[in-house]
Amino acid sequence: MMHTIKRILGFIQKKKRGKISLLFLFALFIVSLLTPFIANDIPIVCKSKTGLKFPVIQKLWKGSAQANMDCEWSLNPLIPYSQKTIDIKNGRFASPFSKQNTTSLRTRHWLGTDALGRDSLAGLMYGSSIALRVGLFSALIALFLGLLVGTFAGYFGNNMLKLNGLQVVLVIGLIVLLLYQLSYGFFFGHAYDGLKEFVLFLLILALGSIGILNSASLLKQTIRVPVDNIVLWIFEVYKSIPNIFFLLVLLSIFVKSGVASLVFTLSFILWPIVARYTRAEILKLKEENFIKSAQVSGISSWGIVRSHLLLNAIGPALVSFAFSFSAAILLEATLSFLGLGLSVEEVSWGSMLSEVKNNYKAWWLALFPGLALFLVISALNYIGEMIGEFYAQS
Amino acid sequence: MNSRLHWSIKLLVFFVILSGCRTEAPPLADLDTLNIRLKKDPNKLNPVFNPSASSREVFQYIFVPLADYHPESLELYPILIEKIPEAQILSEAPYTGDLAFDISIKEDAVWSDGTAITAADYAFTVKAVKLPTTNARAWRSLFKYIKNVIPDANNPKKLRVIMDKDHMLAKEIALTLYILPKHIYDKTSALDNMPNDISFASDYKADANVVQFSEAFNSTSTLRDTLIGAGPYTLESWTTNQSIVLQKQENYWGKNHADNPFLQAGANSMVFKIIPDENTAVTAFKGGELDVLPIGNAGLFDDLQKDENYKNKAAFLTPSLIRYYYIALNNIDEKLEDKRVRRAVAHLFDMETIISTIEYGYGDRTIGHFNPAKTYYNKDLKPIPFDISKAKQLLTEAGWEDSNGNGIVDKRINGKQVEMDLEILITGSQLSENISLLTQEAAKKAGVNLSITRKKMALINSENIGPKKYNLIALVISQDAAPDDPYTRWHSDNINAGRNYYSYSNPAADKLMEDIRVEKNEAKRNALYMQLQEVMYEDQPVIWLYCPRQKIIVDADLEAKQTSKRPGYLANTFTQKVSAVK
Amino acid sequence: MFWYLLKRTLRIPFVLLSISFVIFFISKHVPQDSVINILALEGKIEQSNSDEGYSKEDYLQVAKQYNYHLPNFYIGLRPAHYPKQLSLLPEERSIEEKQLQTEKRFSLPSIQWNGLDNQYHAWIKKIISGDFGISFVDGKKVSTKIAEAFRWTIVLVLLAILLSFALGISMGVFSKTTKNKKSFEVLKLTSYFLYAIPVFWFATIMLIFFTTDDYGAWTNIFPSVSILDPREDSFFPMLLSAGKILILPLLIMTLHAFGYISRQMESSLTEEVNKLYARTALSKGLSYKEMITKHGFKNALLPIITLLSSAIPGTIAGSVIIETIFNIPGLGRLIFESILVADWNVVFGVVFMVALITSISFLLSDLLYAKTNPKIRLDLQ
Repeated sequence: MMHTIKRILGFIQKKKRGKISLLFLFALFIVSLLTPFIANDIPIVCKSKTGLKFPVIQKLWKGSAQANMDCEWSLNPLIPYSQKTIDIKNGRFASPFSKQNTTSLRTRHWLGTDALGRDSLAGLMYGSSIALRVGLFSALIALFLGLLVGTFAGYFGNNMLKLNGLQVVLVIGLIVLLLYQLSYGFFFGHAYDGLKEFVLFLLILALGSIGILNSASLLKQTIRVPVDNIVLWIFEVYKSIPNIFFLLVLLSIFVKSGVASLVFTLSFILWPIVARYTRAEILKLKEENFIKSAQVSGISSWGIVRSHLLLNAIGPALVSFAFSFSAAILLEATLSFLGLGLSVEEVSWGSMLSEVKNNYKAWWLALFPGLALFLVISALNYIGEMIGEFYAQS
Repeated sequence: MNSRLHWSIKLLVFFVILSGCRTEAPPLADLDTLNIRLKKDPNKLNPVFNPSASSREVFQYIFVPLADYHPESLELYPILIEKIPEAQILSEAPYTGDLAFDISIKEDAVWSDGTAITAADYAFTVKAVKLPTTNARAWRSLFKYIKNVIPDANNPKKLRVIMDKDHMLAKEIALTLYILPKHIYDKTSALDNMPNDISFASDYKADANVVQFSEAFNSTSTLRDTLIGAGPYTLESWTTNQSIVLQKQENYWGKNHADNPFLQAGANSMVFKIIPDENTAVTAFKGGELDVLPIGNAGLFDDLQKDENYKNKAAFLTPSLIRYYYIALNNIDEKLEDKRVRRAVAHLFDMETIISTIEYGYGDRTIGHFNPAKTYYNKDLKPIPFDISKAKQLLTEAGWEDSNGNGIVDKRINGKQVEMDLEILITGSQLSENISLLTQEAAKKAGVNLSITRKKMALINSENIGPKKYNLIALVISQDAAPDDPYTRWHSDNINAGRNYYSYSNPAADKLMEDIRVEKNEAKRNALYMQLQEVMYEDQPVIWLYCPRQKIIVDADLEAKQTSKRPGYLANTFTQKVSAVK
Repeated sequence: MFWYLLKRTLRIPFVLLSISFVIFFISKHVPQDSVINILALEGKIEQSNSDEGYSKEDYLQVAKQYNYHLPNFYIGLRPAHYPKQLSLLPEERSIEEKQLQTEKRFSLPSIQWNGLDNQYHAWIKKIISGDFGISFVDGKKVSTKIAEAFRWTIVLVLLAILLSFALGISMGVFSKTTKNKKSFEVLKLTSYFLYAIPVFWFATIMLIFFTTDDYGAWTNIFPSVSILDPREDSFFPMLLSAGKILILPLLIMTLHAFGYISRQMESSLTEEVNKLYARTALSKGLSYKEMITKHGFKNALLPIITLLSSAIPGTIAGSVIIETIFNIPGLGRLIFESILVADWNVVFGVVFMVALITSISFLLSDLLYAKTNPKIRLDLQ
């Protein structure tokens, strides 16, 4: 696995643009990790009478830091603003080039401010962490679900999954439980209040279905389940309903808007893409001789899927992973632009862009987040394409 | 293949040419058409069916009331009637002590279909509103004070209205109502049998005729299509979420009353264009698609005002309307039931900065429910200043202290440790977002954790206001020029069923409100108003923020006047400047 | 071939039926109350978003009139300790639910049969007879609203797809056949750029900078947004008089799709060029250009046809942003606004409409695919 990733990275780096894209994403990742230490309104290290304190770390850890500190000396972040710091003296959209009401070059807002005087540079940096978080987690969940469903459909096709009566009852039972959990949440707390519980529930559901599958070959087989047809059916329904419906409706179902509910909604939209690619690849692989010989030699279905199919199908899945990564970032920005999605306190690229709607003279709020968005999306798309090319060649 | 390529390149060339066409210069805003921006679709345009603010912006040119507050003097001014009648106190039974108003409708006043406006229309409207089976319930609670309508036997234009003595606004109720033509809305004369002094019992059962009438009267046709009024314009067309077109009446009767601002007819047609997005609206104005642009965003307004390009192209009106922004507080919430806590929260709103920075100066502070323009506004009470240390001190006095060192003050209530975590609900406008973000920062310094939740108004209604489960909500109240009746909103009678969503209850205030309601002497009533403001200022049942200024951009070619009456202008009085006519 | 066609066509109603399940189930979980909308529509309250209360009797009457008192579906699923029916009034219901939830943290589900007297049944029966009901916002018939909006979308979407495919395909071919390496690189980069640029950002920037004189007279290139004059009662005169407002949105949609299609066309051609038959053709003495135009082009077009079929629903859904920014009263804006105010009748109508178009375009693309690809044609027979 690591070996393949290394080879893919090597392949991408052969092209200049690939190298730049990778470097850019890596740099963005580092920036998003370090942002609290680069742009913040509290000191990194503070030596007070009671001893040495690390307010930034404290805030990251506990969610809040002590409001007022008397430091004998302190080490402060380079940019003395966080994305939420309100500097009302420089409110009303201070341009990067205008005369600002600041005391030194360090406190200057280098990329301008918004209506409340929040620093655009800090917003841009924190925005990168939101974009990467939303993109990565949505794409990961989509990858997981997509691989699961795609492999399932591709491998078993319409004829290979045979269940006995008990198992069919179990499967239907699991579906009923899922619906029950969705509607009332009586197993793990109210579903929409606790996302964590819901994810746990999904995991149990997934494990349950794998368990049923595994026992499939052990018990007497009676009913043939047309897995592939069912999954194709789901794809068709998905494709026919406009995404905007799922996006808006699912988002309005969540009580608390935030990164978690957004990730859940986006991955719900993105997984069929991964699943489709995976299914197609598995179908192709199934015809290969080494799989057929494995089947003949009596290795269990799960064993074949795990050791042969998944490993080989990961290629196209990775391509769609890269694309859903960029799609998730774009969708988040679009939703924030429309005033939906994240909570009011969060600052993301999309929410910065939406502020332009209130003052179109604030070109800096349009230009920088838009550019960042554009660069991330093109970098991810390019990497996706290169992965595709890598697999096409090998 | 070659030919195909050729074809597509042709298309490309065509496209480039097409897109390269420059926009034509905006046509001269002759008063053929007046294009007005409307923020959202008004949904219905009939004044007796709970009209919304955006609906009023349109129907005021189709329907006119008997009398209304004059846009400049804000005094009651006759429109459909000859003059404002004086109240006569009756001495005979059954109306002993009640008030009578002798109304005479203007001789030449006719509906837009040419039929004369008569006393019968007045009587019909009163009955239709009182009738429990109709949905025209906007004024039903007020119309119960109309005891009788007696048409003059000899003159169909004359009538006497008898008002209950128990309401201070008897005259306003009797005169500022909109009336509807009986021959249009009651074609079957279903209500003719009802006496004019009818009052309906709570278990009233309508007969088949009346039920049929109610169904027709409640239909969308009455609300949206069949709009016959006495105003200078008629409805031409209406496309939901796009535009509403009003057409000037030919041979309008109001021509004989040119000095009456409500009866003037200006532009040949008015096109209300529904543009929810502010930026889009400004772009449309710049492109010459709009002549009148009411705008909410102060930044955009200020920008355009400073813009050299538009200095001469537009006039900027900032009338102060009778309304205010406020933060509703839940007075029965365990954290907010102490008035010291409510005052402390009020100290956390930095209104000076909000008005000067976010509102660009277009707002006026207010201390209570009554508008600062009213004569009985209590000028002795000073707005609560932004003061974090004072807020902290008040919290400490009320027993809120940071005992566990987490930066948030807390208190033991009923043996339970309660942290001062407050949630403010906003409906998602940029303004309310900015105000709450700014306050959130100040609140943190005072040890109050303020979280912000964006929610739709309909949801706030059903989930928070209804079950009375909330801390803070950012809201707005619009009022009018009539003397205020604080009873409906602040009296403890109205906590469970009425509009006292804050569950404010203070016996002293209750008493004052009851007295105000029946006091007919203006000077005495004003004194009561003053006292009430003091009591409520002390209690701070809600946080009164400020009265926003209306911001309207008007094409410079138009002669336009602003007014404190909603929506801040009267588009039918707009004329073209002489200099602008070529 | 006939049987295949029949089978594919028969599938459409079943897909639509499944969609009706999905959207009905999801819409039941959206915490917004259509009854309030109807109360506002009927003039019983001021507006759905005012803070004014409504009377309980009105609420119950409307809720009953619109079947909200019926169970949702044929089969019901609820915790065993729940009563058969919760209160219809939202305030009372939320209190009841809280109480039931605190009463028991854990409860087994109980399943019950509701019979035909349920909301879904009543609704689908109407839909099948072609009645989508009225909009809760303005009382207009859903079919009228959709028809009005659809005219705009069809003009916008069809033109955008047509233009972008024509341009994209020819650019793809051009970039593959040109000998000028530099122009190839420039084209490739441009199409890349156009595809990766976020549409809403592109649109906002264009709207801000290129529709007014603010940034110098030369920047006033495009007509600004406009509202149609409804006094034009027939559609085509309206389109002609207001057609200029479509230029900028059309340009943006076209350019965005164009970037993608030209890239797809190019990579599809690259694949074909590397195939055996292409090399044989070259060795037979055909020039590179001839080989592509005579053989490669036709084969490379196949994947583009599938793209075309998914482009139609995709563009309709994607036009939401464009229509919102440019104030065009099309389907995208209609569904966006309707979802926000929970005007379910309209939402269902639009979703069905888009689903139907999608199904038909997939059917067409399958047929087209079969027609152009002899191998598939053989399989079908």
